[in-house]
Amino acid sequence: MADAPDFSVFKTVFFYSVLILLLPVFAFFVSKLIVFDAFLSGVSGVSDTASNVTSAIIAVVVLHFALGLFIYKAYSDPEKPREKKDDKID
Amino acid sequence: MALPEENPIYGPFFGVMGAASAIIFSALGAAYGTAKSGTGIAAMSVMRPELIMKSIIPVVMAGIIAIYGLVVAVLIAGNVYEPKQYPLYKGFVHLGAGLAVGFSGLAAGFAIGIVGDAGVRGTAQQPRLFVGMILILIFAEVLGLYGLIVAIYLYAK
Repeated sequence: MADAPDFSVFKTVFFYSVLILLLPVFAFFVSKLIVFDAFLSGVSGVSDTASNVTSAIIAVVVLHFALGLFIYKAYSDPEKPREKKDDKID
Repeated sequence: MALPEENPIYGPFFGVMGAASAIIFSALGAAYGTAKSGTGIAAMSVMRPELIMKSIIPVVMAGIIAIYGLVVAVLIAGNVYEPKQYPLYKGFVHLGAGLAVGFSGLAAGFAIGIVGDAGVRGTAQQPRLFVGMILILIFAEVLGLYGLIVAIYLYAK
């Protein structure tokens, strides 16, 4: 019974940690390799430095978006029902 | 076979040192921030385990500092070539970019660690401190972001 909330907290934290760690890396390489190098290089002649910088900025923006999601989730977490129980146990 | 004066053999040394110092110092700051706020979380969770989710935030923010350094290190490392195509000027610029994000990340990681430790312990006793702790952490995090901005600006030169 006491394990279920702990596991759900672990699942939430794990999900957001993976999101924060992997999403920017994906965003960087996806935006660089696919969008800029494959599609735009032929069209508008984006230079290598410009595509690197833009991809890095996109990655950082995505990173902060994920961090904002996590803070919002942590902030709006209720966590009320367990407080009373812990006082009584020992 | 002599290299021109602008492309000395030691030119890439500066660029490589820039890439290395970007990730080394950022990781130093992030590790300090994680360890310092980790001790706070461990001490706090003994009495208030339901607050773990909220108190993980300083650890996540310290991890983000290391991602800043990683981004700049990857950018620089992708642009270091052999001396013939790599003027000394490029090396200096890359060294400056790496040092900018590295030391900013070190400072921000120290700030996040100290604020996270005290903030997490305080939040256990007064939950309304949480908003203040988040704000202070964001301001500490932004210091690392400034370093990243300067580093990317230098890199794009």
